[in-house]
Amino acid sequence: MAGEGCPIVEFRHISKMFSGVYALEDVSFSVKRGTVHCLLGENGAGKSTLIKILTGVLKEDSGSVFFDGEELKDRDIWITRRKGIGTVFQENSLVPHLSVSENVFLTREIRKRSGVLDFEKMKSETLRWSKELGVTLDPSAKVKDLSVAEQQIVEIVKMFSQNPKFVILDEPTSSLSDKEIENLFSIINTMKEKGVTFIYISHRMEEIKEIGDDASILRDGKYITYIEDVKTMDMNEIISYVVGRPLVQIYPERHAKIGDVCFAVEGLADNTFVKDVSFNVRRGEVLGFSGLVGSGRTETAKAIFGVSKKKNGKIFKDGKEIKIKNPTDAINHGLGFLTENRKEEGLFLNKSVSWNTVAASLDKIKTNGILSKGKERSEVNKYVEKLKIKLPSIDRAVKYLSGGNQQKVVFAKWLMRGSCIYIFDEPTRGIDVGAKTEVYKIINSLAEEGNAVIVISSELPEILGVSDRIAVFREGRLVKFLDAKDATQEKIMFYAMGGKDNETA
Amino acid sequence: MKLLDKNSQFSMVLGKFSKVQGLNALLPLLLVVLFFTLMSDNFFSSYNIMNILRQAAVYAIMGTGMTFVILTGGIDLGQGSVLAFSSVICAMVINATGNMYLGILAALATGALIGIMNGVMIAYVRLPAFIMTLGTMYIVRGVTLWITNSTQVNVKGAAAFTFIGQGFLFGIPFPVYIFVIVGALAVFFLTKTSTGRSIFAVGSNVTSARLSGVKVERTLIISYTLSSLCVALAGVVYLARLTAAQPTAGNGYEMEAIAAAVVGGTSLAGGEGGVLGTLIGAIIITIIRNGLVIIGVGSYFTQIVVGVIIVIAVTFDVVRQRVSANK
Repeated sequence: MAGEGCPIVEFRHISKMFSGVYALEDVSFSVKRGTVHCLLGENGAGKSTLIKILTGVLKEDSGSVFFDGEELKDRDIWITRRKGIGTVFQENSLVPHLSVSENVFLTREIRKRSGVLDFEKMKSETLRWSKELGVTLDPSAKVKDLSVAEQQIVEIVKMFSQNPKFVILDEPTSSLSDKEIENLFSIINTMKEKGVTFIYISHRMEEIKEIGDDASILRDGKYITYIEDVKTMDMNEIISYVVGRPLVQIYPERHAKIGDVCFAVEGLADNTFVKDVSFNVRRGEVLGFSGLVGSGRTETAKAIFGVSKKKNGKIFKDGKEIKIKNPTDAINHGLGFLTENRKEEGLFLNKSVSWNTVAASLDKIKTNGILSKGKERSEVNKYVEKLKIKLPSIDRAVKYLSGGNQQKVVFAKWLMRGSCIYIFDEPTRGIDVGAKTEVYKIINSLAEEGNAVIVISSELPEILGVSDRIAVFREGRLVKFLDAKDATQEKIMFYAMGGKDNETA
Repeated sequence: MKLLDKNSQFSMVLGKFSKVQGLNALLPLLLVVLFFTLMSDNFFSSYNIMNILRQAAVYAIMGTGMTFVILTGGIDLGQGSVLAFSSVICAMVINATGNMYLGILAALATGALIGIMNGVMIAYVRLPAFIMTLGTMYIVRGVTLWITNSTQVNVKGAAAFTFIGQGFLFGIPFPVYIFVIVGALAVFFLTKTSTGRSIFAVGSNVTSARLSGVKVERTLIISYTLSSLCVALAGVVYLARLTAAQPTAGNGYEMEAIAAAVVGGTSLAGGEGGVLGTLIGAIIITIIRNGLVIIGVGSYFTQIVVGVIIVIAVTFDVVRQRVSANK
């Protein structure tokens, strides 16, 4: 047994190249036992590569990894798991058609003596673990019927049920609501007391300050610095290490002139989630949709855009009622909708940047009714420049781009379409601080050009930072409008969680 | 930074080459031609080459149709049956009216109608393409056997009609013109029109396609209609070559069409590929059939070789994708 004094994980001179470019260059650091060690860096800084090397998904070109005082040579995901390294990856790895308990015990199913699977035991074990972690899960529910947030919780239960000594959480909160995040943090604290060590990856600075002990910062594949105490460190200083330059302001200044109402929704309802939603947006205005996960914000957007069926409600553009039966109608009426899952609902991953950008605007790259390669290239290049999308070539398949650049491609698609009412659902999910600011600039410039913008976000600082007005949703209803000038995170949460006007916020 | 420049230059050159879809299939084509030329003096004669191209025409036209459907992420298992049905209809109408144009028109209309039915069931009722076209395969074959009483239908007279399958124009078999024209139209349609792009979009990511304003249902119906329409055309060529419509004709030809598309680089997952590759794929498969007969190897051997070629072609494709994924 290795001594208690040595670090639980140690990286020594790890380097890894992808086709001649360093993804990691001579990275050395160690993680102290019983801490929550934050791993910070922009997308593409090398965090995920490092995690994949530690768990054995990828093989380093040079360097070595020590775990619990012992060098882990030929490791793979099975060996590292047996050694006690647990991982919750950013991308969900559950089997949708199996139940919660079947997923939790996937590949390590409990059997009866006869060799038959013991479903009852697996269910009761799943219940025991979820109780221990203070979450509620139905072990018999099919994973495909759960929300993204609930699936994330299943992942977490699955990981902890393997009794890990060391846990890697790669952006575990990206689809969780504030309350669920709080829950996760209390799980982390409980496990920490039991001696479990964590590596915690997140782009949200507030979270890092709340849950982190110490931190390592990576930038462009290099180890930049060690931060001994993230709680007392100034947030701007951390960010400046991450981006390699001082960040003047995350939320850029806004100068949009707010004009007439150009888009209005009256009494909108769908068959399940949305109940009687009414609002309007003015030219040049950014309207924020806030609320807990599952409060009906995304569903409202989908009902407006014709993705889901409307049961009731009228939609007006410039005072005239318009009918939207499907996304094609919506687009023809000048709506653009950036969905929360860019990979599943926004992009054609195998297709090039150029192909993706023109996907909603084919009529604009035609000469005499025929698609023109030349027109396509010049149009696409305009938007690549305008949005500062970083890429080797517009013929590059979008799946090879970083999250931030992928998101910009989706923006480019709608900008090229030339919509006048934009709905952006979680526009900065999973992208780094630098790219976030650029996204905010895009949103601002769209507003300044006189378009109406709706931004849906689960991050309260973001909603406060980008909106002129904030609509708070709860249980499928729009319960409160707040003016951004006198809104606070507390006020939004008060209404989101069921507060009424006659009580005090 | 230098390394990066070089790398991106390299990938640009590579990108330009691989952008012309189907060129990857040229290498196996070259290899099979080389192999049979070395194995037999009779292979690389102008007579045999013309023969191969004539035979390839039916597969190539069917494969073109199949490519539309595979690109949407679907499949058309009914092709073989539709080939027989449309050629029987063509023969019967010619015999009844004495007008070959009416016969051809009837065959094409029959094909289009079956395609529309497939498309509607798949797009609106949301049946899996595999199931719907499997059903079509049985139904259409059954109907064909029924209306012909399981006997062949001979086309009477009409030298002008047999010219479509047997004639030469400027020393080149007439069916070759048909498949080149069909292929060229299909390439143009897929790369230069909005509907063509929609076919790729639906196959690449149907949710993104819908949210980008693509009319998914319409696109699917068009794809399945084009598939059956191509097959009906192939049925006419087939009939004109043999001058008799066999109700059992085309059995298993849908597999040849799928093989041609896959060897040509079209991904069965949808969204990637194209018709140029399918045309080359159809020629490769025909050469293997023809060449193995010429060098005197039994017909079961043909099956083995075609199977091996499919596996190798797809293996190359998978490896190529994995390599580019690691970049």
